[in-house]
Amino acid sequence: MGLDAEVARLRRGDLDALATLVQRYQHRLYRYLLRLVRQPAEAEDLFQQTWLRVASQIRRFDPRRNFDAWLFTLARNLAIDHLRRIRPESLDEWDSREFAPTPPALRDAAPPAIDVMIARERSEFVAAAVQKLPVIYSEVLSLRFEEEMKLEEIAEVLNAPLSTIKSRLRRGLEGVRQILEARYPGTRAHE
Amino acid sequence: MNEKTMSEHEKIRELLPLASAGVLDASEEARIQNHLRLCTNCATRLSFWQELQSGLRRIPTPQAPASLVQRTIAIAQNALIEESDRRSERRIIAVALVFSWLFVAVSWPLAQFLGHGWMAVLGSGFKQGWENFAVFTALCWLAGAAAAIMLAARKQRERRMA
Repeated sequence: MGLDAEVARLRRGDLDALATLVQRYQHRLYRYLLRLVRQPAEAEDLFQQTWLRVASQIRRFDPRRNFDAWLFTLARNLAIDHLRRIRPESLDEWDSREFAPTPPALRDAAPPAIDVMIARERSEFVAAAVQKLPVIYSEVLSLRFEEEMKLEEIAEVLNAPLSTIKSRLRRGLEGVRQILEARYPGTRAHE
Repeated sequence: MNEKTMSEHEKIRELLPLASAGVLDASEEARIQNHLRLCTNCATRLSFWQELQSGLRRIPTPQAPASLVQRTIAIAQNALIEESDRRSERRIIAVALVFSWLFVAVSWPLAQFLGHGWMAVLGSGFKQGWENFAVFTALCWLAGAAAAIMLAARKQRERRMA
């Protein structure tokens, strides 16, 4: 059964539809929450809270909206409230020095040759680099590259303008690059 | 390389990460493609960003524990049932309130008619009596509404704290 039909059934109070949706989104939603809070126990708790919120608010959901964006918005709001209470510093943007534009002398140097890394380990290195980013950047990377959301959907989830999302996406990618270059010096390819 | 070319070069480099993510508009995309035809350095950098993006898409996905999913389904279903029960309660209360109001509104003139006939209903004394009754009833309803609002607010607070 399609997503729209399941959501319609859930709005009518169908318990089986709720079970179906929880199973449908189990890995994606858990992954997203884990990217935000980075602690499995906290991600599990937030996962439950998100679905409790879905159960209590589903009748207020406008079926013309994108259900994915609505669900991830609920999850994000809960996660951000949680982080504000226990780890507010994790929501800070990076110090501007860490995002200082690359000096001109280095700009023309080629980026690190990450293709020298073993393919299997490459994604783990990248994952570790993303973990080091402030939440406001890592969540945009997660929504774009893992959830494959369009920028407009990400803007809806984050309740931010499109220009802000583009900026965070670029800064997030730059951040990953800087972390990889710092972690793996000497892997630069020579022109 | 002159200043204008450097500036264009820097602007293109700023756009490369977004180009690899496929989020540029048509004019920005065209601008980049035009530049890449002439600049192998930027073309190399774009390859890097595309490779990085590919790595981001292949980050291992953590799996939600099966026990978590089962637990969540159980408690969310309970919450859905409770929400449904609350809605039913509110509907019943609303119907009861409307019925009570209509009953009260109709009972006074009905009592007058049954006790004293049409003259009691159409006579001048009825108007005064009706006004007094209406004021008294309105005050009773206001008190009831205030009590209902306070009870609902208290229930809401208890639910949030639970």
